[in-house]
Amino acid sequence: MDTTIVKKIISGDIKAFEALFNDYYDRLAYFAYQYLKDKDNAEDVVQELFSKLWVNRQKLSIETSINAYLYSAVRNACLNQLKHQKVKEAYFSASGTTMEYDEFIPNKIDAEDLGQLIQSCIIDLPPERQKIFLLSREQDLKYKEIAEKLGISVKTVEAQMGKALRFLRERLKEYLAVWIVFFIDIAKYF
Amino acid sequence: MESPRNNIDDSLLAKYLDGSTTEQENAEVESWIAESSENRQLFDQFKEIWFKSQAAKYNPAINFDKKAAFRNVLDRINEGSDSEEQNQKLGKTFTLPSWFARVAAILIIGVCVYLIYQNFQPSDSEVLLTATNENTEIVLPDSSIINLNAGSQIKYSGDFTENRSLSLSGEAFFEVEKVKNQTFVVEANGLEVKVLGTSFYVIAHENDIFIEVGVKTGTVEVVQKSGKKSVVLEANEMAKYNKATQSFSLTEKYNNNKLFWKTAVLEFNGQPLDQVLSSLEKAYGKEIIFQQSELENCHFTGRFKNASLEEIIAQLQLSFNIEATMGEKVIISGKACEE
Repeated sequence: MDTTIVKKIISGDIKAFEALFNDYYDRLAYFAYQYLKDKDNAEDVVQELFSKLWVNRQKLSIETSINAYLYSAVRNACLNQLKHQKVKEAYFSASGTTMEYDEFIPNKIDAEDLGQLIQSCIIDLPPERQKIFLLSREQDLKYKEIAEKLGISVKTVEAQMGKALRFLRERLKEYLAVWIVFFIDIAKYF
Repeated sequence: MESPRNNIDDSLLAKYLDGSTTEQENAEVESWIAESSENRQLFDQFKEIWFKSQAAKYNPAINFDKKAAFRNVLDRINEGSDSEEQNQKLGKTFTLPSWFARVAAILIIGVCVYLIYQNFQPSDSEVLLTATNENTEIVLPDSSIINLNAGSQIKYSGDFTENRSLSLSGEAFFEVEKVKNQTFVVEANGLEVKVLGTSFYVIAHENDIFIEVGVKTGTVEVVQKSGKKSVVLEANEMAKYNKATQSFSLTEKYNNNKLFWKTAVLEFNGQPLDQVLSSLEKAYGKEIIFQQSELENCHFTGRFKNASLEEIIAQLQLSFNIEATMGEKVIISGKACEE
């Protein structure tokens, strides 16, 4: 699916572009939100990425997954934005904030980022499943406690958790199994 | 030869990770893991997600508007193409580098494709249909069929085939055509009814406190738009949503009599007489006055098609010891049935 959708986009298929956008928008925006802690800025980063993706699509050459490409592009854009913020703050305040982001900016997403990747995918879980998943993982409740709290059967909790884990596993397979080196030509346009 | 078992329930793995499996289940999971490296890998992946999501700090209040976002992206694309051409004009005008011609051509084609696409998608247009007759049948662009009761209204946008959603005010019966990966959504008074391919009715009058959704075939998800409450209904089930308390009740079953306006059929299978009379009241839109306590011990079975209210009342008089006065209102009296 990955390569065909990229080919379609390169050939100017705006419907394929819209499909890619719909598939990824929420999770990428949430992923950006984790860095920027600001919803509007997060959306801005992702919208900018997609508009540049379309305008520069002829130069697009993604040698691994579009998934890893999009996530790393969003992360880089966020880190850049944070860096600029820090520079501005340092300039305007005498306190001289430390520049945490001025060092090395990693250009790739990998298993290290799994926690944040998982969180970004939680946004696409159906509401009931999301609630159950968060009660288990965030609140650390046992299935039995979740069932009591929500007034549902333990079997339902087990089934919902099974589906949630399966969903996240399918989405994040590439980060769980083998990580493949990839190369992005378009990166320089961001 | 014993073939390796590749399948295990995801829910059992989830239960194992929760640490709530029985000893027997533990043994089952562990022997499954040991069976193949694929199994082990899948288990390790589940486990990795399980531990990496521990103490997640997900903010469920964050929601995004995808449609608006996509419009912004298209605006940015168009703005970008304008300014590039502008910049070029500010520079030397005699020769344009060949790459620029290529980029410009691509941009122009892109914009044209988008404009043509937009023209074929009358996405801003809106279709509003109001039924003036009882049982107006409407065939939607996706071939789904709606029967609308008199005075009921549906509204959907011009890009319905792309985005199968409509809003309903009043009563309707839906027979939804199955389209792969495309849900069909009915929005009614703050509830959303989501289906793939199925038939069901929705009764949602603005002034009623209840919204009823009854499923004839297939599966339907009813979601409260404001909050996160939802119920899933299978065939022959019905949900009654109370707008005031914002809660669902699932005690009643799917009831074909609610579609009297469409079918002209009323069917009773041993219901207490007071319930029969309430159904008649709704079906014929005429007030019926009776003393509930006297009638609830009577049970009625029968089927009427194209019958008038008078004919049905006459039939009930034959079956039970009751008197009926027909007028502006129908008054039922008499000690009908003893326990």
